[in-house]
Amino acid sequence: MIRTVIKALAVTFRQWRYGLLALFVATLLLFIAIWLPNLSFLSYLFTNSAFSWATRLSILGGSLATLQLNSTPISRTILFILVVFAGVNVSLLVYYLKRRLALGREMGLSLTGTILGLVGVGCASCGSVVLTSIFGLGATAGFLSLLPLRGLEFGLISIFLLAVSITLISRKITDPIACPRKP
Amino acid sequence: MKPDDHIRGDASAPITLVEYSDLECPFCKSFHPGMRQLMQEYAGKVKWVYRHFPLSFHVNAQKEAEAAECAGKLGGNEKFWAYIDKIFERTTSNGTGFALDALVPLAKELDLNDARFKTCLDTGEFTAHVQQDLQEGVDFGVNGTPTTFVNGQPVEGAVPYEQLKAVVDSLLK
Repeated sequence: MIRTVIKALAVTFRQWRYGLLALFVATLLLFIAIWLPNLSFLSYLFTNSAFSWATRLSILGGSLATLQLNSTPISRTILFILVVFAGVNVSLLVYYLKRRLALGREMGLSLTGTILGLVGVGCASCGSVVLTSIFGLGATAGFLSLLPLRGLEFGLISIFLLAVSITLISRKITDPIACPRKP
Repeated sequence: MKPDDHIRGDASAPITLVEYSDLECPFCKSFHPGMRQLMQEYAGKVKWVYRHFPLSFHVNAQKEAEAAECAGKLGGNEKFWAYIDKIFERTTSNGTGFALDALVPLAKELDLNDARFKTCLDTGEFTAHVQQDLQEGVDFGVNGTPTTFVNGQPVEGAVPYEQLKAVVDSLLK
C-alpha cells in the first residue's frame, strides 16, 4: 500500500506544477487556519479606512506569529500534517482527473459524459475517487472550522481520512490503464 | 525487428515503438489516436511496429488480428494499417465490439478483393502468425495491452499523449 502511494507521488510530482499546486493549497489552508479564529479582527482591519494597505499586509504577516502563541506543539504538528496531506490530496486528484479527461477525449467521449462517469456510482474503475476526495477535503474543512475548540481528536480523524483518500487516489493513478493478460 | 513486421513511418527512424495491441481492448482503442498523432508530429524520427496480442477473453480479437494480416497480404503495408485504423475507429471494444461478419465488408470497403480476403480468413492462414506475435509478447514480459516498447523501454498501458511524447523527447535528446 505504501509502495503504491510512493509510486503515485513520484508519477504526479515528476511534473513540477503539481508540486507547486500542493504547496499553494497547503499554504492557503495554513493561512486560513491561522486567520479563521481572528475573522472579526480581519474584517475590522480591511473595512476600516484608517489602515493603509501596507499596514494591513504588515499586520496580516505578523498574525502568523499567533500560531506560536495560540497553539501547543502537538496541535501545530497536527495542523502541519493536515495542510500537507490536503495539498497532496488535491494535487493527486487534479492529476488523476486530468489524465482521465485526456483519455476520455482520445476515446471521443464528451466532457460531460466523462465527468458523469467519474462521479457515477456505477463506474467500476473510477467512481469512488471524486467522492472520497471531496470527503477528505470536507474532513479538512471540518477540522479547520473546529480549530478554535482545539479538538485534537478531530485533527487526528481528519488526518486518517485524508490518508485514506490519498491511498485510494494513488491506487487509481498507479492502475496501468491496460487490459490485463489474465482477467 | 522481424522481416514480417508491419511498420508505419520511416523505417530508418532512430526511435522505434513496438506496440503489442489487441483490437478489442478499449485502452488500445483510446491509445491509437495518440500513436497516430505521434507519427505525424515526429515524422522521420519515429517508426511504429504493430504486433498482435489478442487477449483470450476478447473473443473476436484473434480473428480481427488475422483479418488485418489478410488485408496486409492482399494490399500491402498500407492496407494493413488502414484496416487496423478502421477497426479501432468502429469497434465498441470489450470482445465483440466489431462483428466478425463485418470483417469481409470492411476489406471490400478498402478496395481489397473480398473473395480472396474471405478465403484467407476462413482458412486461418494467419492464425499461427498472430499466436506467434502473442507468444513473443509474453516472452518479452507483456502483461497487458497496450504495451509499447520505445527503443526497448516498456511503456505499459494507454498513457496520455503528453507522457508518450515526453518519453520520445527524452530519447531524442
